[in-house]
Amino acid sequence: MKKISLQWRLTLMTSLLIAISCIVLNLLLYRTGSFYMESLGDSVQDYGISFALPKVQDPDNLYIDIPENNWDDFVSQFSIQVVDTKRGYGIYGWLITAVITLLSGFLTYFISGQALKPLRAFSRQVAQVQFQNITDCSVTPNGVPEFRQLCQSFNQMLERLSAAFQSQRQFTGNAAHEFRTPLALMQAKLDLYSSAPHPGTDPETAETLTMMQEQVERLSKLVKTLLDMSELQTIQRKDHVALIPLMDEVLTDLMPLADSRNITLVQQTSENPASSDHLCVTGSDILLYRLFFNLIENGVKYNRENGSVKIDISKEQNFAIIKISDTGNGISKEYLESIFQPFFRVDKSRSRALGGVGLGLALVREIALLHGGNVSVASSSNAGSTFEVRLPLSQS
Amino acid sequence: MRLLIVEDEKELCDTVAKSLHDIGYEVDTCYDGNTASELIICEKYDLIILDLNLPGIDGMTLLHMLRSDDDETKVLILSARSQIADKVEGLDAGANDYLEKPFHLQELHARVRSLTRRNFIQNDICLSCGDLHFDTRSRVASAHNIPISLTRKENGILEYLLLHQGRPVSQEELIQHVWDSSVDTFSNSIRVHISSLRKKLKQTLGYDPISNRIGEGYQIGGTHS
Repeated sequence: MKKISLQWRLTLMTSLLIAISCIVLNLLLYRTGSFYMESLGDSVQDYGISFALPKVQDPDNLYIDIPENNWDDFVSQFSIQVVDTKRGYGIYGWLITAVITLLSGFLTYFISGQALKPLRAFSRQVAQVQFQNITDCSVTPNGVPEFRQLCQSFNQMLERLSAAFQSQRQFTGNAAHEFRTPLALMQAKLDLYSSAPHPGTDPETAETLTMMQEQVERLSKLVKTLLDMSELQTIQRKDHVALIPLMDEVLTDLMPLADSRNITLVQQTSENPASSDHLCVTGSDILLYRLFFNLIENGVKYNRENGSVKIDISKEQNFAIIKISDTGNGISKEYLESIFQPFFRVDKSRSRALGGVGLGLALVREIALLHGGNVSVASSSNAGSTFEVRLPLSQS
Repeated sequence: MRLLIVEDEKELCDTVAKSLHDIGYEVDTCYDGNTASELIICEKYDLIILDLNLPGIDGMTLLHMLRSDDDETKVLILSARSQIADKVEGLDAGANDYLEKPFHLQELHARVRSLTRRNFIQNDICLSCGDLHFDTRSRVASAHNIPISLTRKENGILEYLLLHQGRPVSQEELIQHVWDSSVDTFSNSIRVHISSLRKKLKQTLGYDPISNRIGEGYQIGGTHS
């Protein structure tokens, strides 16, 4: 019962009610009808017994002349007729009940559908409120009183939710911010110490210092990424960014890293060069740079020696599709979604060794969503994985 | 060379001061905005390293005060604020450079060198960074004595970056100084020139001397992180 839609539920219940009322009505009508019919039959029989010869001449009354020798025959025929009438009356009664019930049930379906229209409109509105646009979305109440209240509670819930998101973001930002000054001090002290030669240092101290330097470096990176993430929303996204030059620059920037691991970077586009100017996205130049930098950097980092990273830019209706394929080990199926979660790492020790903090892909997804696009793993196998980025093109 | 460091975190201030003193700068320190404002008025500094969050008069106000009658003194903002908007606000108010906390001392040194050296390096005819040389008179770049053929724009970019080596130069700054004010889209065309310049340099030089620092700009020389 729980899985049935509201409209069907209403229809079924109303139909059930109609059916029960009709059945009761029919039963009662049938009983009265048959009672009167029987009394008619009885009266004829009584009459036949008490007045064997009906010879009364009454001009006002219907006069039936039945010969005496046919009388018994008439009485039996009449009683048969009464029984037939009763049965017919009953059958028709049931038939009519059934038809009326079906018909009204059928009508109820449409009428209740009409009555439920505001609910459908409401659910459409709610469906549009997604996680990404939770902050700038509310449901406008329509005329029906019940829904007005529902809308109100829903909007209040949305507000509370977005406030919660906001404060979480702010907290991360503030916390990261507070880390900066102590980190700066530690960094400066360590740098100052190592800038001058200390001949008397024993190996243990030297090791501790190196470890601290590395960890301060890591913390700084983490703080920076956390701040970047918490500040994403406030960055203006009004630049007109041409994707192909941007990609060219990202590749140039990553060339030293790729060279050191002997990985080839290949950029290709299925668009002809003349129309590639139209591959423009409106957004933040810095954020988009980061998006592609992170994705391609991952492609290089988690690749095998002498592998390659291919970047393919194409256009599909109003979207730019950027596919980044590496020749790494691939990502197992169960992680395809979770790799975009903050602090998620498939292989913690390996990723740490490569200098990651587990926020790269989370940042990538946030940026893609902020620009009205999306990012996903299009395919992944032992031979490598392909990330697909969809970004809405600028309206020119 | 005389520097002033304004930073409310005493320990950090002293550490930075010591490190700069060690490499030969005369350094004054001060831990709050009010003292800083007096020092700025009375003394003449070549460079001021300025924190933005200060007790008393805050960093931005100090910067405005200084710039109202002094365009000579270089200012490097050292701040825990990292939002692009803060950076732009600082640079617009007349700061010459902006460094985020936490930072490496080597990085700070490179920036300080870049800012304090600017005046005399411009008198050199030949600019260089490692094996890369640029003759400002004949306008030819060369590496290992092999000339690199560059376009006019690429030459302009390379010259400007070499003049300001050690600190990142933003795209806006490049457009202001290298382009003749007729550039249409802010980043796309400059991006194409830079990428092609870097490829050409790498071909002859064997490595790419220019690094791109996200959100800050392009840098030649100095420490690369």
